[in-house]
Amino acid sequence: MEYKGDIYYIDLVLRGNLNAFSFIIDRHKDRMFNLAFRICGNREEAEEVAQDAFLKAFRSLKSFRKKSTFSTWLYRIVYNTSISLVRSRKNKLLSLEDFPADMIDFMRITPDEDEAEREYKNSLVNFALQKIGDEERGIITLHYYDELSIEEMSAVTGISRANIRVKLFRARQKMTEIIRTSEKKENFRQSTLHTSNFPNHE
Amino acid sequence: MNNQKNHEKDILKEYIDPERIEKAPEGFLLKTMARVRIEAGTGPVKERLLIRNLVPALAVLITISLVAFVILLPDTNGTSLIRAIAEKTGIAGVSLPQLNMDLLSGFSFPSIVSYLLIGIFMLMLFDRVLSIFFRRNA
Repeated sequence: MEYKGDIYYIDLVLRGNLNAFSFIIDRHKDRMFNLAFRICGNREEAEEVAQDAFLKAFRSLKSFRKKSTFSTWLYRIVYNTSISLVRSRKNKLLSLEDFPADMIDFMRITPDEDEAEREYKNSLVNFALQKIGDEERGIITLHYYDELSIEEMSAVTGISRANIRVKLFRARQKMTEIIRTSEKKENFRQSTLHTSNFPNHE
Repeated sequence: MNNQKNHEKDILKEYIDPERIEKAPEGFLLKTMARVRIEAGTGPVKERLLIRNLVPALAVLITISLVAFVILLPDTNGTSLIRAIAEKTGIAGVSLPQLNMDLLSGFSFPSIVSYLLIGIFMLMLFDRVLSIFFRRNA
């Protein structure tokens, strides 16, 4: 069924049609879950955060002014809920020093080499994300996965545009550094493995 | 232009595929809608405000009635409010019991009772406030 736009379903919900809200959830659930997951770092908390965010949106649907887009408004709720949860954690998630896997591990999961490489890269990005700050994780996700503009990211996070630029630049630098270091180690591992596989002619 | 150059060098673009997002788990929509229905008050768990506060509401009503009854109790001189209303409206046959104060003579409460009553009243209030607070948090 064709989605008729957020405003159409919001109006239906405000007129008492509760089921119309399920269309809104269905439309946005994956993007919102992804943002929560990238900030929280695990699926259980991300699900809790995304559900809470939809519930908060439902409660304050009347106050949605339609000045920004509905998705920006929803992103803001998910972002704030995720940041609050991460900051309230008593036990921080374990942050490993080195990326705990290599390409060969992913080759074991899937025989398709391209798919294994994509999975490896995705895991490496998740690993690098956990090494940077909470806000930076949100900004990286909004920029690279959701492809939001600086203005939209500023509206979602409540951080000024100038500050978003600075934080994005720093986060990008940190992540690039982590990924490059992990790649060097991966290349070293592979070369060692390759050398050790040569038959001994002596 | 500068941004363009930065993007060309951006290693993260090689690693992050915007289409490869973490998808919401199975049943997410149903679970969230169940919570929304409860929130909206159409679910079975939601209690109506009146039902939830029926007992304290009844208690308050009875207390107010008793206090009003005591205030409006007819005195021996025939100047009570009820008697006056009855006379004004001309309701025939209105008869209210008269309290014989002689029966209460020689009966006195110890002074601590008044403190006890105030204490009980304050505890009731405190209990009510706490229950409202915890119910909201739950």
